Amino acid sequence: MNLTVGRSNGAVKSNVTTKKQRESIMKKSWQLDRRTALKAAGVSMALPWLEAMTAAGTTQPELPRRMCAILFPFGIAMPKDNAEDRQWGWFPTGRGKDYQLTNVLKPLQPLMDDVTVFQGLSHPRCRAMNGHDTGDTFLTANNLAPVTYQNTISLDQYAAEHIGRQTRLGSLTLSTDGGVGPRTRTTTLSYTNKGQPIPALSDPKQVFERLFGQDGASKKDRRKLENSESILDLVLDQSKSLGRNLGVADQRKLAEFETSVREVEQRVRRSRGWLDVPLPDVDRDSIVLDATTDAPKEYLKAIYDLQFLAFQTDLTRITTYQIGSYGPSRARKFPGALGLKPDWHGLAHAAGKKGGPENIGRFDRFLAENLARFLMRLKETPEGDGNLLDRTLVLYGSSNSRTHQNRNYPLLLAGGGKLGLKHNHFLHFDEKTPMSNVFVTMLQALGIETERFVDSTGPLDGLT
Amino acid sequence: MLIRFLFGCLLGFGGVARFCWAKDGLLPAYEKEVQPVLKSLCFECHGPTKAEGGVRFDRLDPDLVNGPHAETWHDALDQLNLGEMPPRKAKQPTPHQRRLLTGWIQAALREAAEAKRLQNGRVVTRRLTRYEYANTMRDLLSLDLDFARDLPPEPASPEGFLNNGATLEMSPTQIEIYLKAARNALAEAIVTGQRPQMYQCSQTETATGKLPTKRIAGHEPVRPEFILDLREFPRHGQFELKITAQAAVPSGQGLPKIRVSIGHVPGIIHVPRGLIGEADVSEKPQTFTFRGRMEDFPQPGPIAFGNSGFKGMIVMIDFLDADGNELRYRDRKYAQPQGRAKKKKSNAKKQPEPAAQPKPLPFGDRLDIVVTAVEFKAPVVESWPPPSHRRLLFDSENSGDEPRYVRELLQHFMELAYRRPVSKEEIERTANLFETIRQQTDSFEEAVRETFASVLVSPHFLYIVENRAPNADSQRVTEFELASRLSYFLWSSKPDEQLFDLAGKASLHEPELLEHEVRRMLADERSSEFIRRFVDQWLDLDALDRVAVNPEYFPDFENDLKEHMRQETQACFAEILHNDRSALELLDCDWTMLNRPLAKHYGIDGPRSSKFERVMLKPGSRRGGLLGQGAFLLANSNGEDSHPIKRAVWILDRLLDSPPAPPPPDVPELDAESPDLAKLTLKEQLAVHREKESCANCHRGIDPWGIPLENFDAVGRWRTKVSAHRKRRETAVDAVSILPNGQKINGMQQLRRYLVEERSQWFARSVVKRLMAYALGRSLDRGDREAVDALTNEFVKNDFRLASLIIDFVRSEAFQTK
Repeated sequence: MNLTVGRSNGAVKSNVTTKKQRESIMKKSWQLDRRTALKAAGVSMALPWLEAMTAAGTTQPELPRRMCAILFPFGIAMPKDNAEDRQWGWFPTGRGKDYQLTNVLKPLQPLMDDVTVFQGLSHPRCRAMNGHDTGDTFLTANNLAPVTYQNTISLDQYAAEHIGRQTRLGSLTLSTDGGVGPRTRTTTLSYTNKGQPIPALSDPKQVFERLFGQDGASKKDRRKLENSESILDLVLDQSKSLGRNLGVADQRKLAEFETSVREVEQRVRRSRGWLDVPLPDVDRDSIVLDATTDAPKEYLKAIYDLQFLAFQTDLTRITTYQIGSYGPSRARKFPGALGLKPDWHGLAHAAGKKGGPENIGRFDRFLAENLARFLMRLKETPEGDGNLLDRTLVLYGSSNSRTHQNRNYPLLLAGGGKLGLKHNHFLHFDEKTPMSNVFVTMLQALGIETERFVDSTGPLDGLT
Repeated sequence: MLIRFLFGCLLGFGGVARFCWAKDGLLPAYEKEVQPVLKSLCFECHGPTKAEGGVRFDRLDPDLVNGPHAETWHDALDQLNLGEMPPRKAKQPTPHQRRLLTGWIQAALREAAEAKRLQNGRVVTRRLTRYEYANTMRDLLSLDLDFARDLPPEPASPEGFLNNGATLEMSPTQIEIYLKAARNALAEAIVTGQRPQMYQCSQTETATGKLPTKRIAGHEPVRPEFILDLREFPRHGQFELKITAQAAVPSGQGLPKIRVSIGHVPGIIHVPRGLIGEADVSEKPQTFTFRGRMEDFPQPGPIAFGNSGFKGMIVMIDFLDADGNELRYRDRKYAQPQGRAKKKKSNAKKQPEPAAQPKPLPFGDRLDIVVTAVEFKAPVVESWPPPSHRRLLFDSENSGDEPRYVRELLQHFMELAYRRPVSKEEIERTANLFETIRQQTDSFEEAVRETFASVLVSPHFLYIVENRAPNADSQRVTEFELASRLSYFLWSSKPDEQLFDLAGKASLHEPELLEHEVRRMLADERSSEFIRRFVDQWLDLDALDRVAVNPEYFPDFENDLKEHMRQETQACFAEILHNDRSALELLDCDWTMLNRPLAKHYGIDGPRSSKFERVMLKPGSRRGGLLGQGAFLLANSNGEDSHPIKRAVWILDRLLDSPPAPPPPDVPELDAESPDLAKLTLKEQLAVHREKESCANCHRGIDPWGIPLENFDAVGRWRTKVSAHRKRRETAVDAVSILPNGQKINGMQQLRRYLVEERSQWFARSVVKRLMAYALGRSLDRGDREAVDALTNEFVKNDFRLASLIIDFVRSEAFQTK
């Protein structure tokens, strides 16, 4: 079986706008063999566009650069170095090159050439916020405005503004609970450039649909997209004239509607550019799409598998995933469902008590196992002269250390070996170093010329 | 005395409290009481001489609404609560002074937040919630699909409501989902071509095949008593399933039930299936009809594989006893071959021969069910074209003239969708869209679908629009806006024809008519949506799903009970509403609504089936009223033990309208300073908690409300002993508590009485405010104070009758103005 997928090289390179350019790309993509079946489980898959390149015989293209950010709530155990249960603390022991993982992060051991663990980082502007409020700001680095809880753009959306246009989906926002959740306890990590939370998807079936159930290349689909544009035009007109008759507060709310419609118009236009590029055909049964949060292991696996697939097929290059939330969340039940002590929040609160580190440590280890599996799949999938992980940045951590403490986030960054990142160390920082320095390093590694993100003071020392 | 005085402040606006900052004015109180304390404690360092940290309390503007210093005041509150300020070396405030300061700052901050909201204006045009959208689509299209499935869940407002215009948001993803849902729905509603072929299948005996009978790789076994083997089936459309069954219930036990699901068998490791429903089976043979849609259930891929014997979809029927346990007898023939022990090489000889199948007992000798016929049909189409098609594409003399016909169709559809008359211009613009689309579309119907889809993503449909009144003096809603307010309040859906007609005649606002309409709407089946949504959100019953019951402590607890608990609370509210009983019966009464599983959980005899019925309680019973209901007790536990603080906060917030302030940031953990805490009883732990100055402030006002309920364990069962928990030894329940005003309360019955006798005003106000916030779809503000007072007084005067309250409210200015 031919395990390749056709992709146009030009679309990777730049943000295509003119019709002429688009046509020329399409022509190229026609040369490729695109009726393909991509086995989701296929580890030894050759990356589609690479083949396309050799066929077209053009110059070396820019390989995709990707990022994924993952947050888990409530923090971790931090027993003292001489404590009996130090092995259940999240942070490694030692420092620099000379460190040892504890039981908790042990599952990452085989991957450490691609992983750096940080100690001491946090968002300075969020330190004084309520201990449960910082999930909102994990990727925005800003403090929430008082009363309105207005947020600002998140790292992933900032990156998406630059590299998101190169793929079918600009980004993919996921969380265990879905939607946006209440302010200060949101269930999404992603915020628009207006600081509006982006609803997350939570059901694996829904995610799969979103990735692979998009409109295809048939005449009917083309017409549907054209209709969509006309429909959205009309709706936008209606909204504008409606706004004139509303009160001030209502106008402001309606502006959300208009912005959203405009964004969808853009998406539709972008989809039209992709019409001639067939969607990768993936094996639906290779992922347990029926997995629910009642079975956390299967559920997390499905969610990670979907992100892997999205990267592998280059449907998007940016994902965020929030495991649970600081508020009422279905993920609070996860430890219980795994046969551990129930209620995640309770575990975190008891992390300082006797026996507490092991109780939460076992659960944190479970989370690390799932992460390791995801990273391993990326690493085992070749791409160019390396593998998918070499060009994927995976940020993973919590915005609490001890529960309710908005300092010293447990954090790690994986991947990006071919994007200039050096790994396999345990870096310590003092409180003066803002976590947004990691963001700057990540953005630069993604090829985005950025010197600053919110309160950063530069790229992070020791990573490049 | 002092505590009561402060407690009054927490109650917010209104005349119930003996003294209230907001009423007497925060500024006079500042000058009279607060500033002298600040002067004696803070000015030395934060005053003209030192101004440490750049903070000068002598210059802080005490007007938080208009002044620039609200944030500094907020910081000061946090510092006070944390016990960081004044610093340890400095002169410390007395408890009285501390409470005075924190109480005043909290009240002032709340005032400022409210003023800010008011200044930004009220959001009155709000988006439909998920469930309102689903109901509206259903009523508009005469089609029962799961319209809202893909929409993201809504966040709750500060008061707990999902329909608050300010918290309801819109995003590109939602727009895409609305458009997709509209297209899918219209493809069902408006049809072309021939009536689809119907598949039928029936059996009188179960089919057999191999299904997993053991837990494999984390997948639960499947052991249905009856399998209907669907070899041919449509992948789309409504199905109808008829099951004829009869039960044998020899000793008058609870009625057994059937649980019906549909799915397929991919290999034999697991069986993906979706629940269709359950039904109680009685001694009389009965035919049950279940409906669903094929596309909502797991379907096999295009190629069947595995050796289960089933190649397509299967309908599975499980038998359960009244308590939800599988009803299984060894001697009965099952739908799948009995799991035969696998032969292992090493001990193959030791394996006993499988016992011969015992002779089955005759039906009737024991608790049992027999299924005598199962019939499946799909897709079920009432008529062709379906009613939705005939309603949307109605016959007309213009049907030969496309441009005229489509305008006629649009006028009809847009009026229904926008819930108001539409202008010629609006119709014209949408008709233009039709013409653009029609040029490149083969069929008229297809072009109509696409055009109608635009109506279903229009802001006029997705939002409950209320225009700014033309002159600023009259903020009264129009007749059609009133119709929508009513229908979304009491039905969570669009106005029906009658409401629409009355609005058209401009007579809906007439008081008698309005009362008549409200009574009609409450009597209508659709009002169950009001009961369900309002009760769920007001009392935060969703919290039930957020608590995981720890099987280590409650091995027998079935998660289904949570849903029964939710229904009990809803059913009690419905009983009170529909029978015009006093809402105080939510606090204390001698009856409740139970079904068998829940009655058993509570240890009460009564219902035989899973249907809820009204049960009179014996004198002295602890179940009457919300405080004795599992929904409240479990939702406010931690799944292992009771949680007096959560329970107390819930009572204060949801029932008494006095939510305690949220905990300050970075609250230090208790156990750090008291390592032996775990050995103490909860009540003792709380006492330690209250000794800490930084916690005491709030918890003195909170904890006493939860302690009287200590006789209820985490899952809401009665107990006299608190069983050993982790390090704590078993102890007797101590439910004696002293309320902040000095009132001694021993146990839940006294608390319940106390609430009825001493706090009914508070409760009335709470019901009024929550009902208003829900009906108006917004947070209340200062402009609502008079209405709250007036309605509360009326409510109390009318013996706490909910229907009267709703009618009074609907007829009031508050409901009819923007």
